[in-house]
Amino acid sequence: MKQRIGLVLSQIPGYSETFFRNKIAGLQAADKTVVLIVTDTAPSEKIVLGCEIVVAPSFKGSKLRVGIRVLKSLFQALVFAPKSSLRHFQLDRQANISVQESLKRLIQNAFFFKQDLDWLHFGFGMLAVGREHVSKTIKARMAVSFRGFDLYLSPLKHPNCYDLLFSMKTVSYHVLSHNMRRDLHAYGVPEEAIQVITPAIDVSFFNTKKERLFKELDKTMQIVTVARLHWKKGLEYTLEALAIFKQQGGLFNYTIIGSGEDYERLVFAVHQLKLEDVVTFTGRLSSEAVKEVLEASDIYLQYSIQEGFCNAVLEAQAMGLLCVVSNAEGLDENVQHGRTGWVVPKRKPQALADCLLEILQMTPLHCKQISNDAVSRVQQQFNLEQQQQLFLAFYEK
Amino acid sequence: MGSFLKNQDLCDHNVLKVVSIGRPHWKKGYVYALDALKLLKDLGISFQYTLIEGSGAIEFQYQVHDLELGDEVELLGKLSDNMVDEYFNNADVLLLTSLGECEFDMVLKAMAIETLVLSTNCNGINDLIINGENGFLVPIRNAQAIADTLVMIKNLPREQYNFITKTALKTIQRKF
Repeated sequence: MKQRIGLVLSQIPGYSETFFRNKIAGLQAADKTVVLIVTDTAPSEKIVLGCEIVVAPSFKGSKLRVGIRVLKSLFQALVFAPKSSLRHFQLDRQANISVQESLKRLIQNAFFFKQDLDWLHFGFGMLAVGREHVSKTIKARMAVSFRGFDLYLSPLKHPNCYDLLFSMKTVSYHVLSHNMRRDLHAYGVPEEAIQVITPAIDVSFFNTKKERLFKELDKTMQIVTVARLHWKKGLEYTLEALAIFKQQGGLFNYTIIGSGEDYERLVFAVHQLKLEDVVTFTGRLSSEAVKEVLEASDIYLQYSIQEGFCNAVLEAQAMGLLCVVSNAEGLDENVQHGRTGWVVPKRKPQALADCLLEILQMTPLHCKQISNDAVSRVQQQFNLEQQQQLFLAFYEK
Repeated sequence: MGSFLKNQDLCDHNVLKVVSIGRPHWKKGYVYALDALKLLKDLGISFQYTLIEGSGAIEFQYQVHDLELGDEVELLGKLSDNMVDEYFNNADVLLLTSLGECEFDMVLKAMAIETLVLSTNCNGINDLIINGENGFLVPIRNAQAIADTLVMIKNLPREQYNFITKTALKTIQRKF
């Protein structure tokens, strides 16, 4: 019988969310049945994934609407899945969760009970919170992926949110980097329960025939970043570094590809730092358009404050760009300092500017060597096939 | 509650008390305040920083955590006027790190109770503060300059600190 894997996400992954789309496709190719369970909203666009999609009931809206939904869920739970309902309630109570909260969790999670799954895999840490006992209730194995934000920021926003999850002995964890593995282990999760599977990219798409010579970096260096315009991407620090670099004689154009809530903040920084003539915001672009910009660029910057691993850096390396990244979480595993790029301490614009000046002074041959080594490493170690094999092994444990 | 500064030099204190106030918006430049305090910590200088109205912003929560400033930095919610007065009274420095508009009412409040003001050179502040005479001004987006000035303030003799804050008080008495 085919192994059935329930993948829990907040939303159906859009076309640009390649990680989950690739993962689903890889599992299906290996003859697994994937059931996608989304907790927030039904898709606004028609997205073809070739798998069953289950949408969690919504408990938002008017009091009347919520009340009807609560009664319906409770009725369905008690009538159609009485044993599972009792089991879920008991497990919660054994974990010292109050009667009221246990009932609330039962109502919210009852829709899971009809699922016949071998694995229930929560795609982000926070998705498992409040659902810690679902997998045991439906007799599926439980897996949780941590992707950065959920490991480093969510516990600050919701103190102790993972206490119950991390106290559970039978959960398998997936993280993106060895640094994340270390930080998750620091919460008391056994090392053997944590598997590192890094992101991967389509190296058959992200590659180039262009021969990069790096002979004219001192003329006008073409610099690019692909990132959501969010504080955690460190773009304000990046702009400050570029302002210093410019003052020190660096000639460059900087393109930021992406959209997000910090657009106004960054435009203001560009204005205040007098970088209007050298910085371009393109907004969000298609993969093909991103590839075109990468093709025409020399240097890729990812000076993030917080970063699980970062696919965009892999794509830039695969395209032969010289990559400079911060030391945020997984980035110093993504790029090997001095061999496949540069890793600069975060929140230090002067250090980033110094690094750009250092690159300017390097010989083209040395730059070429670093570019070649980065391309080879990404092709060999961060390809989709390898990632798919690791996920298959993860579920075979 | 009176200021503990009345009888001794700042450099004799174990802890430099710094306070900021304002909603947790990027335009307030708190990122630079926290980066500056990290530089201060790396220099081995003891301080206590209170950011009133700074709670609830994950960016600052993470920065405090990331820079290991949890023991020195307190992010508070909105406080009553009385509580704000108390924090201002007990602070050695009101730190304003705005990238644009100035919080003049807070500057005036600090000057009125003789708490020293360190502000970025934000819009219009030059009309009120003359650097080194009745407060201190630093360039915007410059954590190093904030840190250097805080170190300098910490090393001010008591008489000079008092002279500056009294000059500040006279400034607002004259202007308003």
